[in-house]
Amino acid sequence: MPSKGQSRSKGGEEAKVPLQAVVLADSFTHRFRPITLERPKTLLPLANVPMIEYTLEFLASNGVEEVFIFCCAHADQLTQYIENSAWSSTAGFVVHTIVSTNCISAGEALRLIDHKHVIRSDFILISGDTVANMDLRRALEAHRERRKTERLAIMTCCFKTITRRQREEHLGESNLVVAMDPATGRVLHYDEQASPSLPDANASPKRAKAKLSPLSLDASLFSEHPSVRVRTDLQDCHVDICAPEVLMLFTDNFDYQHLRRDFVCGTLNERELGNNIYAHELGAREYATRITNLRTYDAVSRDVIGRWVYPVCPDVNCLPRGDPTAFTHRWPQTYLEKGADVDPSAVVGAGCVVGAGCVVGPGAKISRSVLGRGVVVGAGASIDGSYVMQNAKIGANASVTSALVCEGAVVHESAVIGKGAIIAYDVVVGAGHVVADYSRISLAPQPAHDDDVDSDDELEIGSFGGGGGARLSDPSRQMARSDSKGSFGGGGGFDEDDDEGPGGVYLTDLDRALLQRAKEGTAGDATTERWAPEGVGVGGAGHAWAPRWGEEEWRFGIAPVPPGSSDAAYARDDALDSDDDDAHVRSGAKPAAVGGGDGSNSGTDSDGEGEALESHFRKEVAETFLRCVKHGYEQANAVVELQGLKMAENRTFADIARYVLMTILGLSLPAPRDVTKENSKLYPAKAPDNTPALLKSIRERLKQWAPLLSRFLKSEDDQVEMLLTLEDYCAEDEVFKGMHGALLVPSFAKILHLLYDMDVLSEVSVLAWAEEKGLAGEEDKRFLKLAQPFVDWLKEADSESDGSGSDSSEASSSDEE
Amino acid sequence: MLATAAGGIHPAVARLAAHYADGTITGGRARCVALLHTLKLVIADFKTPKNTKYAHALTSLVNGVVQHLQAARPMAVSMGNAVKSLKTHLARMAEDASLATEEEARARTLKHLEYFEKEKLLAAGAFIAEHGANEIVDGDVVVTHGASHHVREILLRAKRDGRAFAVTVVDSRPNLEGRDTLRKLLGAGVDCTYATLAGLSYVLREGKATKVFLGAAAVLANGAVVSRVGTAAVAAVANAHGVPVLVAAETCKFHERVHLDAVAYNELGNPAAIASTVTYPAADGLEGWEKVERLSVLNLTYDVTPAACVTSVVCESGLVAPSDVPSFLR
Amino acid sequence: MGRQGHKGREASIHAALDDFVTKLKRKRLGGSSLALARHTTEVLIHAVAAQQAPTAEGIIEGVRAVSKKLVEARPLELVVGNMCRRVLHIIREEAAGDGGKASNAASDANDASDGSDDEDNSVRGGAMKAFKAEVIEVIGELIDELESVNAHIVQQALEHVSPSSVVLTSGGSDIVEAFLREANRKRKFQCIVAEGAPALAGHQMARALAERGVETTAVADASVFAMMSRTNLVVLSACGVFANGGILAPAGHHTVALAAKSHSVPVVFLAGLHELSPIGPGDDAFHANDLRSPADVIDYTALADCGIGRNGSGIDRRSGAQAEGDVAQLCVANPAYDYVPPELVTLVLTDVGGAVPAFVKQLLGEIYDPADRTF
Repeated sequence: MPSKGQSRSKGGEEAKVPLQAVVLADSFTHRFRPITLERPKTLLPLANVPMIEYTLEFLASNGVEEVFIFCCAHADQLTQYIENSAWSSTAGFVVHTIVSTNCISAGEALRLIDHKHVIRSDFILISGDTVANMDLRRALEAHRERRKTERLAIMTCCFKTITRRQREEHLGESNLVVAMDPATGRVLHYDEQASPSLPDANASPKRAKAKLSPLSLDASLFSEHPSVRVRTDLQDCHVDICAPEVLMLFTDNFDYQHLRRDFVCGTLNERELGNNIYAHELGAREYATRITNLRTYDAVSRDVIGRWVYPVCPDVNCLPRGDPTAFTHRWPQTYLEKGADVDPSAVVGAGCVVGAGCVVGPGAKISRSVLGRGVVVGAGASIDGSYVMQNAKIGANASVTSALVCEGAVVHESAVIGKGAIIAYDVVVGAGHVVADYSRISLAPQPAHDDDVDSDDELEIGSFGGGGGARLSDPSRQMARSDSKGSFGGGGGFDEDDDEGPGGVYLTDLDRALLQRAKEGTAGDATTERWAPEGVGVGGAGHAWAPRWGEEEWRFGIAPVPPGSSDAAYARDDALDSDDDDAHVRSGAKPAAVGGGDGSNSGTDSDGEGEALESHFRKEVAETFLRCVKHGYEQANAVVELQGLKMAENRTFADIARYVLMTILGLSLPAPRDVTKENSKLYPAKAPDNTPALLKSIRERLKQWAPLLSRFLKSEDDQVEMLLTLEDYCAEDEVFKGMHGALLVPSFAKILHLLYDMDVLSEVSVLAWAEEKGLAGEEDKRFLKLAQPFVDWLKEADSESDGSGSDSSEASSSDEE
Repeated sequence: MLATAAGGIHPAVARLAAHYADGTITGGRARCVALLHTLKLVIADFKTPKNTKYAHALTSLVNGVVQHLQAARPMAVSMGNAVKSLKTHLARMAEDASLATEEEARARTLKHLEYFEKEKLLAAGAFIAEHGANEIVDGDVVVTHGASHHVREILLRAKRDGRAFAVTVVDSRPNLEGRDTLRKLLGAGVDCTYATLAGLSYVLREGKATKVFLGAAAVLANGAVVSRVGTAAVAAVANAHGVPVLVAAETCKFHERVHLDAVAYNELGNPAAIASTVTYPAADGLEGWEKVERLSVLNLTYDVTPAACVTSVVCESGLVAPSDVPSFLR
Repeated sequence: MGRQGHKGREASIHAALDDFVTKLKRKRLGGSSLALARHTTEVLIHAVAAQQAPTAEGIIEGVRAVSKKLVEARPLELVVGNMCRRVLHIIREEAAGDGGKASNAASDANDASDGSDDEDNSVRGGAMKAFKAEVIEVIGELIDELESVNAHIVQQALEHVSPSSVVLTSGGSDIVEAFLREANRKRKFQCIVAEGAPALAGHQMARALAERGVETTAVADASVFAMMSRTNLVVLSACGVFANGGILAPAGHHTVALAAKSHSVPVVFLAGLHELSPIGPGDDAFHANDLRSPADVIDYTALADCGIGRNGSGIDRRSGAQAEGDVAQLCVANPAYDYVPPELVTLVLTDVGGAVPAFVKQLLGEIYDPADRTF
């Protein structure tokens, strides 16, 4: 019996509240480019049915009565689709579309929805590309029961048990570690770690190269709960049941952008507020997966074809609603739609879907592929493991392997489409041309900033004017940080990229005529001027995009994982696990600073651009701090200033603190070149003559500012990072060029001692830093050698006093694997 | 009567019995090989007591071992044949006056056991794999049930020989042994289909099965095949669809007894294996079945496939019609 | 004459129909086939009431259109189609039985009309209204009949179960349980219940029978052949009966029937009249099956470490050529139904008595019209 929502009786009044859902459609991801430059992702077909249909069907069959679809990019296409579909006229199911063109993340979308005050009770939060057959009612009942006794159980997340290998190889999702209380199902810790072989853009080059960072759990977790279960075998289904309080939290915390990284981690960290998140585990027969990248698209497609999502199978023919498909099932797992014309000599193998109006020529071989309606496959062509959308044409003897060919594309005779390739809308591949593995070809030129590795929740700003096309992201997002939360303020960085203009396809009439001829195969080499033949061959049309992610392309592509690649990552991973036990024993690790789920990140990469930005940031920090010094601000006010800076620049407190310290130290030295005139007065004219004088001036300033520093540098990781930055400073490396940091080198050890005395540094951090440095190359050990006396002194002091932090001194034997 | 030097059960025998009892070693061939190894250990340690002939003493020892193992789990036919062969050898040795020392006797006995293992089990297995693999042609869809060592070897051999074929593994509760076969075949790169007995008709018909390969615990004198429970169903349905059924068994599994039905001489497994389920939604109707008065749970281990359903038996001598089995039982 | 009323009714029937079809497709209409039959009939009553056609033929066409939609939603649920055919048969009979009175009145009104549509409408409408009312009444009787199907089948239990016999059944079915309990009232016999994977409904059935005093043994499906030599009678439930006497049964029953045949044990299928279907070997629906989720049979994660390439190239069996990347594919079959050919069926017990497979055709002729075999 569908539960129709809850009846609330408030003092006699019986108001029946319908079950509501919020669908975040159109969360643009760069991972689906170039396809999503022209169409919204949720209209992409999966087994010949647009993804949004699966989501709406899932909601409708679970008794949801009111749906708010949030659209951003290509909103016009999506709203039109919804209006024309039967969903807008289904009894007992009301669909509203909410359009916004300047929301750039899930957080913004939820703030907008909160602002509209349409959500009246517990609602379901889901993304528009979810394929599921799970029984939401069970989860909903559990959620409501909990809410009766515990008002602050604001969210229930759904998880499915899966093996780690499946999650990585089939779904291409990041490593997920969830700690929960097994008795109540309450989530205690949520960590989405980047997968081992993804370029860990956070890692400062100086840190030990741990591919999979160890997970830190707050020790107090274990004292508060009688039992804690840490699960690494879960897949986050991204189907959430939320209380209306969730929306309010988003409004209150305007820096929350990402559902998981910000909201979930933030809620779990801010325990004073008492909000709780619970986990609901799917039963064995239940399925729910969100399609975040092409590998997931492939995996879910296969699962739908393999009937794992029963009864959501192609031959049930209930989607798209109102105008359903007409598939019949043939063993093994082949679906042919009425009106498909398959030549008797063609071989349609297992796991195929062939849409109506398809014409499959003689001798063609189709295996494990999906053909949309109206696809024409020439004689002798071979299509394996691929997705060919509506009205595309594959020429005779062409070969398509593990590729995605979009609507209207034409692949001429004998062309070869390599694995993992994406052929976007209306592209023409010339006869005989070989398209390289993992290439992407689109009629739209490649936008300049295309190698974002951000996750799916980032939204791109919608199209300006007609024609569909996406604006480019703010270049400040290019700071290679895994937790960058999207650009603030739409207008910011665009002025810098005047020459690029909006992405998308813009064709003149001449182009269109040429394209038409190219499709028919009569253009000859007239196309080579317009579209380079290296990418699409002679007579082809389209721009070949440069690859991104280097050798990690395979991670999110359709093609099968190259053998051994993820094995290698895990082989290393396992060794790391076994040797690295002591890394977890470090006590006193406090929860990471607010805002970041995974501690401080210095985010400098050797990329020149990154450095420039970092330098800019450092300057900002210095300026702000110097201003505080100049005006003689109190600690508290200085903290406020710095907090504001943190918000604006979107960094962590630790980052701020590091640069503040450098500035403090620098105040004892001559002014650096890049400081403003008025601030340079704060600096002495020349360096102190001798070490004691230098140290004295440093000590004075440190005494003043130490509380601020220690407040900002809470965790051990932060402090170690700070030490590394100090090294950079003294070596005048990277952003610290020309700041006279070298003058501090002789007193390096004493400075450390000072910082230790002022409680800015803890001995644990120093020893950890020493440990790390101990394993580095010779040239990196320079500062360690300088600081060695201090480190030794610390160790002695340790072994003399029993107990406190003594394990750190023994923890020097972790081998780098 | 157990008569060993130590006056008790040889530890290897105790270990073997434990393995049989809890199912660690299962399957006719595996159990036979394990028995032979254990017997070798026992014989190596055996010292003839005073005033007895080696052969006689050893025979009674072997009887004792068999009794012990039989108590743990009824003997498989292949094991029985191995023991029979050993006892025949001992009897012949007793007649043979040329044997002087115990050493020689021991050496000869051990050699006999080795010969049996090599010839009747290992070499036979290799031949069976070869003969069976020869039967598989390109484009075949082979159906098998549960886990049989010989069938697996046949299929892996055919795959190594480069045949293009697909396998359907039919599995049955409570042991779900088919998953093991599935795992090994997938690991070797064979396209597989998996189904339970409920889906048997469907995969035979829709899957266009061309051959069925089954394993055996014993092949009886009337050509009937005793095998893991569920095999008879597969053979019968295959027969009804006109699909040839090939049973892989070494000649040491041939047995002169004739069973008329499957219930007598069957072996009972643990009923808890049937009563306990892990399904969703839960099917726990049989939980606590012991307390319900008129309810009992039966877990049969074997069933008998009638000769009419079996097309041929693949043994080390090649393909043999079921009616020709008695000729091997001289 | 209240066009709004018509439209309103049309809209509501459309909505009810849509709702029913959607539920069928979502496989949310579980429960027994009797419940489904009743539900279908109720929807058809709505459909009949909403028909606006002036003649009986028109009404029939309208109901046929509705039936087509229902059957397409779930072709393997034979009961849905069967009830549509019963209703159509009733309509045809009523139309013929009236001696064509209703249609005559309608055509008279047609001839006599020139202008004044309203008047003709009302005349025609009136005749049709009466006709429809009668039809709906008979359909109501049909629903009542459905209520007593089980009772009539179960009544025959004593004729077939002899004392001290061993009866075997597979899986769980309400009707079979009722049948055996009825037999147990007067006879003492033993029962063997095969568990009926993957749903394992046999477990609950075995317990229920034992608790009512029947000596029951629960066995695995695989043991059916072994146990058949000690069995005297096999009683199974049917999901549908085809025109040739073959049975659409839950998966696994074919194996049981084969085992019975090989041991010469009689096989009795219990089926209500509502399960008799005129579909025969020539029809598409005859060969169809419903494959359920593989998750019933094997875990999603079970073979994750096997290196199964869900998306890798495999071997093209037919050409024998080995594609690159020799990664194996795994398909899992979990069919919901089995076809049991008529030669394995000894008797079909319906609520109007027992019938051998060959007799099924005759029964069909009594309750359906040949024109309604396909929509």
